[in-house]
Amino acid sequence: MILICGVLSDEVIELVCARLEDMNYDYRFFNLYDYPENVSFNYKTRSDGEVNGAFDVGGEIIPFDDITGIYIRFDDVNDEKPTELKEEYDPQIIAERNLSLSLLIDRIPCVVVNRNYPQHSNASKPYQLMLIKDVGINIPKTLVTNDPDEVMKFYDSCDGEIIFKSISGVRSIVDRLDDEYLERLPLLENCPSLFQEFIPGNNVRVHTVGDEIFATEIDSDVVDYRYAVSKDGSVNMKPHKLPAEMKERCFDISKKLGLVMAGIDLKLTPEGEWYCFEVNPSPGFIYYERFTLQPISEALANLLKSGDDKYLFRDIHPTISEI
Amino acid sequence: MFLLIGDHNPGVISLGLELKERAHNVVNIDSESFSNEMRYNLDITSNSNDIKLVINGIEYTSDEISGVFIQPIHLWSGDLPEDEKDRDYTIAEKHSALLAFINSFNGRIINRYNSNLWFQTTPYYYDSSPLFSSVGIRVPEMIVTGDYDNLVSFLENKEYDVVYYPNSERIYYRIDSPEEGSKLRDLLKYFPVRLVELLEGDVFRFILIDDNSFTFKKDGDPSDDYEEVSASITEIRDKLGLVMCGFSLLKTPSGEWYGIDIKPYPNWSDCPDDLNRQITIKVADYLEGI
Repeated sequence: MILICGVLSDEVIELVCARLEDMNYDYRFFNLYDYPENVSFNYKTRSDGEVNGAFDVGGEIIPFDDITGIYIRFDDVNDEKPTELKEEYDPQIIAERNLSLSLLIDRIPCVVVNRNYPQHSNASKPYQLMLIKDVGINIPKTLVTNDPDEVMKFYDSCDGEIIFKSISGVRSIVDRLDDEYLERLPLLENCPSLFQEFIPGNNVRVHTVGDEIFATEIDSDVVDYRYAVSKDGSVNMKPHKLPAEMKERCFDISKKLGLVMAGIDLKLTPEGEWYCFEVNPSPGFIYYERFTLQPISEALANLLKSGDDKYLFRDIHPTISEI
Repeated sequence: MFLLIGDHNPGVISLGLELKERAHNVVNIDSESFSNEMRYNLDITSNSNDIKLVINGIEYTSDEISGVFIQPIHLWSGDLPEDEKDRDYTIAEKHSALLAFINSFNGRIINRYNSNLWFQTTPYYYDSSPLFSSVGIRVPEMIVTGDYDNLVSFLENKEYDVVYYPNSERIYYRIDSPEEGSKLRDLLKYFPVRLVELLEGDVFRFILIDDNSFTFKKDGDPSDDYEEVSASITEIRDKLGLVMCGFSLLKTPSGEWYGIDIKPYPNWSDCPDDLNRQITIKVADYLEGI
């Protein structure tokens, strides 16, 4: 049995459910909008650490050891329905709900795409960059600062070809630092930001899914191709054949970060050099699958059905329990 | 120069005094200095990490920093915008910059950050029981449930010697009567609750620093009654990739050990005076490379 946790307004969740239907794989949908009223869970931990419990999905009780894989995305859940309590209580109630589920997700011994704590590497892009370079992938020259003078030095050292974005996991639009933004640099004293040399070439988005890998080359005239439409730009995608060594590095970084599935942002320069910008622990792969028809959701479905112990990464997930 | 990062923490203060006694330059970064007055730059390339800090007008670079001690909790709270969205964004950005700074130093650090430690940078409760179980240390029985009948059954089974831990706070509530238990009923409409049995016994604190281990009872008595669990908690410390780590364990009257809490950035100021001093010396020794 596969469990899908999320909301149907999230297109990725909708796609995965549709793929599981299409492949006739047995699954249940744990709708986070119905949690905890109609879907919930109960578990006990014995003193030897063994966990006994079950999900309750609309009255159907599914023991933990019947589940081979869980796919979870909190991405679209922020605008949850308010409670009848005072509005000031809502943030705490949402935190309690989500943390209860997250703590279970970190310990349940089945394939989980993805557990909670490995996703925290993405909460600090420069921290994650240091992990990325540890596995031997080039990263762009990066400056994290709250000092406008240092940005100007960096700007000059990169011949004025730099981009900026958020340091944290808060989503931001990547843009070039042009004259308009240069005028706003004094505001940096209020909040630091991340600046990077601009790397020329085509973006390549890689999705690792267990032992499968899919690379998509993106040709766009906009720095942040995700926003090509809103910036009157163009974007085209096609499958890309990754060199064997780069494939290996992508699997290495996914494993190092504890991610069974990862969305890895690479760039291939005209000189044939590879750079990595970021690893997304909850990739919105539907965008790439739609364009290229690469069977990413099919690989995910097979991974979740496999329940294969090797994807538990027990050596790097110290919190997984026994059932 | 030694860099101490943390807010007016007695451990940080005593460590600063110790390092100064050893004739070292000590620079402290607290929430106030981590605000708009301080300039910080972190240059990361494929081959190096370079830091430049300007604190009170004095510039410090990576080469000048011999060691770093950090207590990261709530450090980014200084000087924030009033608008809620701007404030949340600024907190996230400062916090993320700090995590990167912690890991960019090449020298000795207590402690580096890794994703396993996410809970240390939040006010949230963390369930350390899987880590204790993974090394064979028993844990108090626990239930997480959204079902009132299950909840009552657990309370009755444990004869109302139970603690309720909210997930979004680092506090707990004793549930010692059916009346207290019934108050949880309303919460179940909104989220599952976590109850943990309360065990009888002596609570011991452990502080591990590098190859050194310090133990004392919670009531202040020093103790060397720890050898049975010393190797196991060292294994947890190593799994978390830490130099220094604090633990709370309970020993029952029948001699069984139970894991209660893990503190990856422990405060040792509540240790008995002689241990407090020894720990401060060992932390300073580690940072100095002695």
